[in-house]
Order: sequence, then C-alpha cells, then structure tokens
Amino acid sequence: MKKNIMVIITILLCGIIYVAMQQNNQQQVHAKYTVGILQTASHPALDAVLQGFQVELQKLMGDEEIAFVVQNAQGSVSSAHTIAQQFHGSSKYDLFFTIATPAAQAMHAVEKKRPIMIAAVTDPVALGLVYPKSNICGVTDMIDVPAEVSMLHALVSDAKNIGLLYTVGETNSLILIDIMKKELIKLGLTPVDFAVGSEADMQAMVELACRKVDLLLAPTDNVVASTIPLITTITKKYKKPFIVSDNMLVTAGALASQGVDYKTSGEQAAYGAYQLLTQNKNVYEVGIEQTKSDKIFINEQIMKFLELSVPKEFVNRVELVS
Amino acid sequence: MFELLLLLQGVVERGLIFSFVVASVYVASRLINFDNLAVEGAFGLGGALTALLICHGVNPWITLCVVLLAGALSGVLTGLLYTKLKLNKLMSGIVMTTGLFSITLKIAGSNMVLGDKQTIFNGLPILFASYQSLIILVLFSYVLCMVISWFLQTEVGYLLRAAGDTPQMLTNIGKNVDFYIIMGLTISNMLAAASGAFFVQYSGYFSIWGSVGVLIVGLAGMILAQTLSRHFGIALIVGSIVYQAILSLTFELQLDQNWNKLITAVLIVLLIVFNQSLHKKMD
Repeated sequence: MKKNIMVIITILLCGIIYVAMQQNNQQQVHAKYTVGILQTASHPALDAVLQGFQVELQKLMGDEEIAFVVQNAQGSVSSAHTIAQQFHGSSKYDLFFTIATPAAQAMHAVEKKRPIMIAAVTDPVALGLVYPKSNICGVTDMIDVPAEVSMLHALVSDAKNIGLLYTVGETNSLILIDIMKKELIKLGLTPVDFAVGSEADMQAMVELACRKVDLLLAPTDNVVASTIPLITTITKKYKKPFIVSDNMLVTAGALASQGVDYKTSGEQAAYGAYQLLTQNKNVYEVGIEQTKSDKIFINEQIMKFLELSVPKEFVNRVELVS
Repeated sequence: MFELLLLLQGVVERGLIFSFVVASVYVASRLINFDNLAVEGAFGLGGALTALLICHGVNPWITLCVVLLAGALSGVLTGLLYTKLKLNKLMSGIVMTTGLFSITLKIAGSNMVLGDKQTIFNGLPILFASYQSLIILVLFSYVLCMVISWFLQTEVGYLLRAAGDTPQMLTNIGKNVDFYIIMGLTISNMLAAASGAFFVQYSGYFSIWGSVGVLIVGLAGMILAQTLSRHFGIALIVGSIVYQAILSLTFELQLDQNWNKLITAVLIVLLIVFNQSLHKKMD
C-alpha cells in the first residue's frame, strides 16, 4: 500500500523533472518565433488549415527559423483545455493558432494577453470571442451563402425541394442553415431539414433525403465531412445532386461547392500571423476576415453523370475537378 | 519554475473538477455494482443547465442547487428504467445518455458562452484572484468527500452498499433492493451533473461535445484511486488529479497525439491488472 503510493509519487516526480528539463532545453532552441497550434480534432478540413498555415507562414518568414508546436485535442473539450493551459503556462510562445471552435474557446478561456489567431470558426462574434480589447483575430469559415444558393439554383434549375443535411450539435452548421433557409425561400425553393445526431445516423438520413427531395445541400459540417464517401455513394445511387460548402469535398463525389477552401483559410491566417509577429501590428489591425472564396468547384464526372452543364454566367469562375 | 507551477495548478484544478465524476463512477460501480453509463449524459445536462441559468442572470449558487436536482432526477429515471422497466444495466445508462443529449441541446443549444456573468468561481474578494477556482474547488471536493464518507457510515449507507454486495441479505431483512439501487444512481448522477456545472463555470462556456470522453476520465481516475485505497475518500480526488497529470504529461512530451487514447486504454488495463494482483496478495 505504502509502496504503491511511493511508486506513483516517484513516477510523477520523474515526469515533472523531465518536463522542467525540457522547458529549459526549449528555451535554448534558436527559433526566433514559437507558435503554439491547438487543433480541435483530426479531420481533413482542419488538417488542411494546419498545413496551409504552416507552409505559408514559413514561406513568408523566409530564412527566419520558426518553431511550431502542434497539439491535437482529438475532439475532447477537456483535452483542449489541458493543452490550452499548458500553452498559457509557457512563456516561450509568441502566438497561438487555434483551429475550429472548441480549440478557440478553450484557448480564449485561459489566455487573455498574447495574441490568438483563429481559423475554421464560423461566427466568432456570436461565440463571445471577438469584442473590444479581445486578444483574438483570424479568419472565419463563414461562406457567401447567397452566392452559393444562386449558384445551386443556376446549376440545377429544376430542383425545387432542397434537403439540408447537417448535424444538430454543430454551432457552425446551425448558423449557416439559418441563412441558407432564408436565401432558399427568397428564390422560391422549399428547404427541408435532414439533421443527424451523429455519424451513425447518416446512412438512413441520406437515403430518406434522397427519396424526398430533388437536391441535397450541406453547410461546413464536420460529420458531413467525415462521412462524405458514404453520402456520395448514396446520392449517386439515387442520382441526386449534392452541393457542399467545403471545396475539398467536391473531389470526394459531391457535385459542386462554392464555399470555404480550408487551405486558403490557413494561408490567410498565416499572413495575419506574419503581420502580428514581424510587422508590429496588433490584433485590431489584423482583425477578423472571411475566407476569400469566389471560385466554384464542380466535379466533372458527377456533372456528366447527372446530365448537367456549367451555366454560362459562371464559366470563368468554375474550376472543374474529378 | 513559475510556468511549472501554473501547469500544476491547472492539473489540480481539472483533477478536482473531474473528481466529482470519479466519485460518481465509484458510487455506481463499486457501491451498488451498477456500471452507470448515464454519467456522460448527466455531466452534459449539468453543464447545459448551468450555462442557461447563469446566462439568464440566476445566482450561481441557486443554479448549482437546480443542477443537482436535475442530475438527481436523471438518476432516478435511470434507476426506474432498470428496476421497473427491467432494462439491463448498461442499456438503461446508454438510453439515458442518448436521451439527455437531445434535452441538453434543447436547453443550451450546441454552444453557449457565459461571458462575464457571475459564477461561483469569481465571487471571492479580489485578493485571491488567480487562486479563486483552486480554493473553491478544494473546499468543494473536501466537503464532498466528508459528506459521502459520513453517509456511508450511516445505516442507510450500509444498506446502500449491501444492495451492491449482497442484495439477498437486503431482501431477507425486508428491505427493498430497488430503492437502494435508485438511491445510488441518484447520487451518482447528481455528482456527474455537479462536475458538469463546475466545468462550464470554470471554462466559461458550454459545448455539447464537452461531455465526450468524460466517462473514461472518471473510470481511469477511479482505477488509479483504487491502487491507493479500495474505500471511498481522498484517494478518489488524488486518483483524478494523477490521471490529469498523466494526460498533461502525454501532451507535454509531444508524443504523436493520435496515440493519446491508446495510452489511456493501455494505462487502464495495466492498472486493473496491477490492482488485481495486489488484492490477491492482500486476500
């Protein structure tokens, strides 16, 4: 019994000593800037943000050495907190970069001084992240909904009932769904909700949706992104067009997207970070900006399969992928 | 050195918050022998109610009382599913957690921010500003420990434990086993809801995904605690803090993050095997 306590205490002490030593070591590393990156979960879109950010920032910095410490909370809010607190506790970081909402909220909850760049957050103002004197700036993944809806209307002009596919628990989806409904109604189309609770519900829900509506539309939804191969298999089977809001998903078998390019999002954030680090700009000057997106991505194979064609007015903005 | 202290403070604070989940898991699995999977649901419910009430300007202490009641209610329902509708133990918990997910969504949506509303962690005089949460959490967990330890020494406490160990004995002396099972679950869910309430007030926002993985935190903390002591007490709090320290360590070592869950799983298996060999020796 006493032995056990001793064993546990010894192990923990070793851990603490190791951490202390490591912290000393890291202070001697030559990198001029250290960026702590907190990613909410492993997920293609979020990985793309991370990659875009790291590559672009290194490019902007040129020869200047820059150290990235990347941590991933694997979808757990309490892990995100643990990591945020660790970042906060170490003075070696000059800047924090958080990817997706839970990471941004966790980091914001503990770090109030050093700048935090955010990305892949849809509405930071509604989440209480951005306010006067906040230390947060970055790039939102808010999409240009009116443009996307009118693209959809032009591309598949005979679709009247539009099925909205999303997850009930995702804040970003809910924000977009609200706007999408308004825009669809404006064009005289009928939105129909198909909300899932988790990945497990997806198959049944998509099959139901394919039987009921003419076209499926999804916001930037994490569950949709994770289950995209499943969804597109079903939409192909029923021969229904599927419009997404994350450009990466078009290659996976969706028909089209005019939404966020997560890699661009990361690159834009990198430029903001570059300004913060080297040009003495403060967070207000960098501010919050929307991911630039005026390109339309269309999957050529699917378009031919559905016997559709690119509307003339979009020809110069369309990028065909397969 | 200061950085390390800050890090340890965070570990202890989270450990204390999750010690309520650890206690919750302990009460259910060890006392009434009921593996309560409703813990995650109750944790989320507690968090959501806290966010909603605090955002509407309700006093945080009253909020805490309401949350405890709601948690207790969810425990009673879980118990009724098991005792009256004869669902199996795991099933009653899973059904409860699944159902509570929707209720939680209805209460607070997928995300709710407390902003600068008053919480139980910012009520103390400004003197202790940076240690406020720590002090309050230490007080709470200490009181919790004392109250439950005392309760287990009372007659009702003995009967509660008997409901898990020797239900036949209870029946023989004319007591209703179902009543004590429901009571155990009520306590268990109440503790989980309290933990959710603390976590939301501590972190300043509620997220529907906040309760994901809470059960494993409770389980790991309890198993760690049992290498110290098989009885209810401070060991549970220590176990919870040690688990948070291990988690922090895996982040600090900057291992490939994809291994994190495997580390937890392996750790739990090792500890259980270690515990078994230990108890064999003692017996």
